[in-house]
Amino acid sequence: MAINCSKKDDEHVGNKKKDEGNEYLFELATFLAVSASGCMDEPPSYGSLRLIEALSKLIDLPKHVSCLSEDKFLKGIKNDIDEKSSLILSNMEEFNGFIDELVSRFVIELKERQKRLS
Amino acid sequence: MEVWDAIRRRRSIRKYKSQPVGEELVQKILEAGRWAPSASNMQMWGTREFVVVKDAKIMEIIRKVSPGCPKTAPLAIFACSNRKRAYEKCGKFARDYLTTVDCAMAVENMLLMAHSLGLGACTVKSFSSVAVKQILEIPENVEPELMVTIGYPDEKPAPPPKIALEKITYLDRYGDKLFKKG
Repeated sequence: MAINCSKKDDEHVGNKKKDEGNEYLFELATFLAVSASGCMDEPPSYGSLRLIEALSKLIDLPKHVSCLSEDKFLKGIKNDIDEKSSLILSNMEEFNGFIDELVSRFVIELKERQKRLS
Repeated sequence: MEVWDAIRRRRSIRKYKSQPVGEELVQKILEAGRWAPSASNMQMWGTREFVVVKDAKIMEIIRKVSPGCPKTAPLAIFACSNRKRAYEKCGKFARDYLTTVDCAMAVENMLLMAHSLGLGACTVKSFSSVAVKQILEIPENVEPELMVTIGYPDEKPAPPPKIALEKITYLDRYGDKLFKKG
């Protein structure tokens, strides 16, 4: 599905907001690139950590791109990631449980969204 | 501050206030690193070097290429090993292993000194070495081993779980318990 930032919207948003969005996208891209490099040497579980950290950053995208709107479900996911990702340092079992719980929440949400669309 | 207090109460700090860290404090932390032990006293050949990052713009770029770097850290010190000098003075083992150990010992000293000065610090290895070398113009034969972020703490983390001493200590022979029950 393509995100449609129409020309009209672009004009409305102004160049400043566009630059901000582009900068944020670039920052996220940098994070992914250096994480890909780091994952070659870091503990395997850090792959999961970097992915959920990237997910948290991705969910922030609407703050920087005006043609996207904040998603309540994703916002909740982001809050929990920011709060619980440090579990990887103290309790691996709980960290794994948290990742599984995230997936489960996505599944429930997927089903609900599907219902709403049909 | 007693050494034992500093060791037990130090925590890895990942949230910092924006208040800058004074020059004098940075120098004390660096001195603590300089006074750390080193294999064969290699440090006197300049095998262990420190790069301090204070410039906010450079720090921002460092943060972006360091997934493990706390977001609000105002300052960082990179403990680097000069592998060329280590190899020339002490050989392959020194270049490939001892330089890293030496940096780790310096970093522990710096963490304790930072804590004793009322500052927070965190050791970070999750950074792109390639990127950091490029940004800080570190030569090919010098390796940034560890980054230490430093600033005034904006959190008070609880102590992390630590494995019981009796599970990791032995007496005279590996596997023979040092601490006997009863």
